[in-house]
Amino acid sequence: MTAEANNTKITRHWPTMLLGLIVGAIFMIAVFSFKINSTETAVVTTFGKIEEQPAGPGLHFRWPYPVQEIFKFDNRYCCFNGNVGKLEETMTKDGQNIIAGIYIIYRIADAKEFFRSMVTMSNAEDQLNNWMRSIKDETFGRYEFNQLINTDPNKMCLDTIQNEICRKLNEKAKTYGIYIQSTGIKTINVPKSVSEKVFERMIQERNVVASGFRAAGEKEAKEIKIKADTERQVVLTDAEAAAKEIRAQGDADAAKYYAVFKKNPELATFLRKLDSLRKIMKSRTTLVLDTDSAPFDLMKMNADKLKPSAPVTEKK
Amino acid sequence: METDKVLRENIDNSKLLVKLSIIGGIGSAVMAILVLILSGISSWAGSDVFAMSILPLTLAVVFAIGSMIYGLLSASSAQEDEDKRLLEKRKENIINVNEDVRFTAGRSFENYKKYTPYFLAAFAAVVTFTLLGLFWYYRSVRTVVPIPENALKSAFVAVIFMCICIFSGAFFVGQSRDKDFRWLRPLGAWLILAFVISLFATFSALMFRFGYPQVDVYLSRITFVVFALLGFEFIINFITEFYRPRTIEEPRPVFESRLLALFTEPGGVARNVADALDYQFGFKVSKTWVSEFAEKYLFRLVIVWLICLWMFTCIFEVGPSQVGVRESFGRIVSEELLTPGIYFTLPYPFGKVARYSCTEIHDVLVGPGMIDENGKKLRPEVVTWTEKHYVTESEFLVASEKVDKALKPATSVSFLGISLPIQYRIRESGLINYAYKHKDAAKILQNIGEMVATKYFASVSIMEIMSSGRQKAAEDLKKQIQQAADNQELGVDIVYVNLHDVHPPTEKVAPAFEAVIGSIEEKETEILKAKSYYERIIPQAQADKMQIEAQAKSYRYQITTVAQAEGERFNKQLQAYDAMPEIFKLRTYLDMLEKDCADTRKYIMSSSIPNEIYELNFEQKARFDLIDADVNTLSDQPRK
Repeated sequence: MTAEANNTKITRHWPTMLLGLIVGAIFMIAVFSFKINSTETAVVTTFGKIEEQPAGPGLHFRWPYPVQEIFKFDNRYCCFNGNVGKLEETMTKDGQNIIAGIYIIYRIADAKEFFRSMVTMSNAEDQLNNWMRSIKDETFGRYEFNQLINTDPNKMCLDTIQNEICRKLNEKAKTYGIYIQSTGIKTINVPKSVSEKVFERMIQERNVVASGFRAAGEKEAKEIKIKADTERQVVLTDAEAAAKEIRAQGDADAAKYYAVFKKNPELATFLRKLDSLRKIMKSRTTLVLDTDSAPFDLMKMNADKLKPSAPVTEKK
Repeated sequence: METDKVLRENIDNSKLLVKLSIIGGIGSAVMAILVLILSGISSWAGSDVFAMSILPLTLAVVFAIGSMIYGLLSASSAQEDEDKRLLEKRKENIINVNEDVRFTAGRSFENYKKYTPYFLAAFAAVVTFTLLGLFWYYRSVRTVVPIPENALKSAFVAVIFMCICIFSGAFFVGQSRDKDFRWLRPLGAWLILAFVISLFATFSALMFRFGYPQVDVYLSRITFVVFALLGFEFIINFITEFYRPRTIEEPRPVFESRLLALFTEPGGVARNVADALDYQFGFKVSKTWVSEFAEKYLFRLVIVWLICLWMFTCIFEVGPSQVGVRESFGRIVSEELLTPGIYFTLPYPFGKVARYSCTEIHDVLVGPGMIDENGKKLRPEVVTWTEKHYVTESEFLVASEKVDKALKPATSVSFLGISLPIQYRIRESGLINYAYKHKDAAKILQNIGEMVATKYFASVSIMEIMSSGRQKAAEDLKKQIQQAADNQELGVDIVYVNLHDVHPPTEKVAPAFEAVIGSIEEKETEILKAKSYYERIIPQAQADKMQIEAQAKSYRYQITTVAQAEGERFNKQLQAYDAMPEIFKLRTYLDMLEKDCADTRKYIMSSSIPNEIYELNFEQKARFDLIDADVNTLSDQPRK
């Protein structure tokens, strides 16, 4: 009876018990294991002491907290541009101020060393940033400005500088479990005051070119105008010359016809004078005539002078 | 006496109800006005959720007024009952006191209880939809989303509201369990809802403080939907009340929200659901077999269902253009890539298939910053040299072509703004490198791109890169970036490198570059002006030439013709002359005098009278011309 009761109790409660078991199992798994992804590496500490062998990817056994603690780190290559003073003004060997910025690609090569010395990623980045700043400034200070910027690629030493920075960084970082895979110069610039000057120079350069164009335009325009004026002058002069010749020709031709005047120059003169008089007396002329002139001589006829003058009148 | 005591208690309770209602109503009204001032009139709070808390507070005021009137009427009704009782005792049942016309309070109380719930439900629905409509309207017409002036202070105010609402709400709901205080329940329920909305407002203000301004938008949407649901519930309650079997003794007031009751009343959600069903259907639905079955097996069903769902996390599909990497316990099982198909792994979180597309083209941008301070990506449609078109312009140092040999250290440099979009895709053989060896490969590629670009542009001449060298530069850059990425074992194929915006720094130098183009135009203009002058002046000269020659020709013609004519006339005149010389001369002379001097004024004088003096006044005109007439004197001037 009691056994049966127990039995029914068990059957009635098996789902709850099963659930309890499952929950318990999940809890145990969660507490006694840890998982490491392929992109991670981990440091296990037992009572604060770092285990010799860092754990690789996969599922691992662990003692629950506080016996063992797990510190996971990303062990992929990652890119760091620097934080404080990532763009910093520095001086080249020949005393030119430049602003240089670099990046590094690094990974945690030895998680144990890294954990021991850096503990966290942000500490590591601060430390890396310090090294980057000092090494960058030191390295750039040993090269001349025209080894950074040059139209001749063979004179440039950017690759050498990068490799040098990378090598020096690695020397420092090695003991901290960090491996720097490569370094790159991502920015070279000049300080603002200098860049203003550079802008000014660039503008002036352009102004020179622009002035050249304008002057060339003016020159060409002037040439064309002068050519036009000259051609015009030539045309007009030709025209004048031709006109003179034509007029002379006309005069010559006319003279031929005037040759007939030679037959009686006296009459020709008389007629010409008459023509002239005719023209002159066309308008508003007052004529004061002597009674001696014809035909008014007729008016002087009186008794005593009638006789002698009669034949004259008749004659005329 | 038992009944007297009950009546006395009734009166006291009613008076207490009135007091509580007044306190609750005034409190709610004060909070509602504060909300209106803080977020309606000014935009100090700057939160939609906070502004929306005015709705539950307003409804709380409405229900407080409702319950206050209920309390007043109930008090006077109870008072009346007491009076009746006293009267009954004194008059010893001579007449039926219930028919006494003086006692109206009881009836009006009954009427109030009967009809006011419908009115309140309808009124609450109207209030709800009016306020929601106003919100909707303001949200659609406003141009800027309001932001809190001080998010922390807003959160603080919301917290105070929260505390007031939850304590008073809980108190009213608790008090309403007593039958006499039943009408306080909606007041409490809406205050509790106001607490929830204030909680939302606090949360959204805090989220705003931590840089998630969208939270307010989402929460206000949720709130809006909740209010709309409650508004509809008023209407539905109003209707369903007519179809409810009248079996249960204590009716639930129509205006009471059953949705709210599910959460605000004691006893748990499931119990309240069952109670609500029982109430609506009039019998114990919760005791039917369906309900019993559900109660018994629901838990197990849910468990089985959850396990099924969990098992679904074992199935992964690698899509047609994808490749997969199998991981179990976070470890890559094999470096062999999975081709498209269905795969089974351990369930979450133990196994997974990471999927990547090796055909999709990604891009990174080297050079200008495209994200502005509001986190918005800029996409300028017009890019000119002289206007700033990106958030931050890139400035690459470029060597100038002229290096002064005399001043050796003075290498001259120029600036060039460049944007360099790099398009790449994941190389299938390099997928493991891309995905598992590098954190944020896109950022690494961008840095590599910047490094290569800095190096490349430092060694080219500015004019060349801006014109003919552009195509070649893009190709060189692609080659160099690919090489650098391979050195890094990044596992990407550079598909294309574009060279955009190759121009001098905007706003400063670019105008000078454009001025050069302008000067070329000026040059052309000058030349064209000269050409037009040329084109005008030469035909004009030709025309002048023609005119001069024509004049000369006409002169020649005229002079020869006249000469010829004169010669011919002379020949004829000579003949006449030869015939009779003297007469010809006289005749022609007189002819002239007659014809040509006919109009000439003549003075004829004798030359043979020596002692005679003639005085001639030539000032006097011979004839008056019309133009000589003096207009003033013309009328009285005698004509001569």
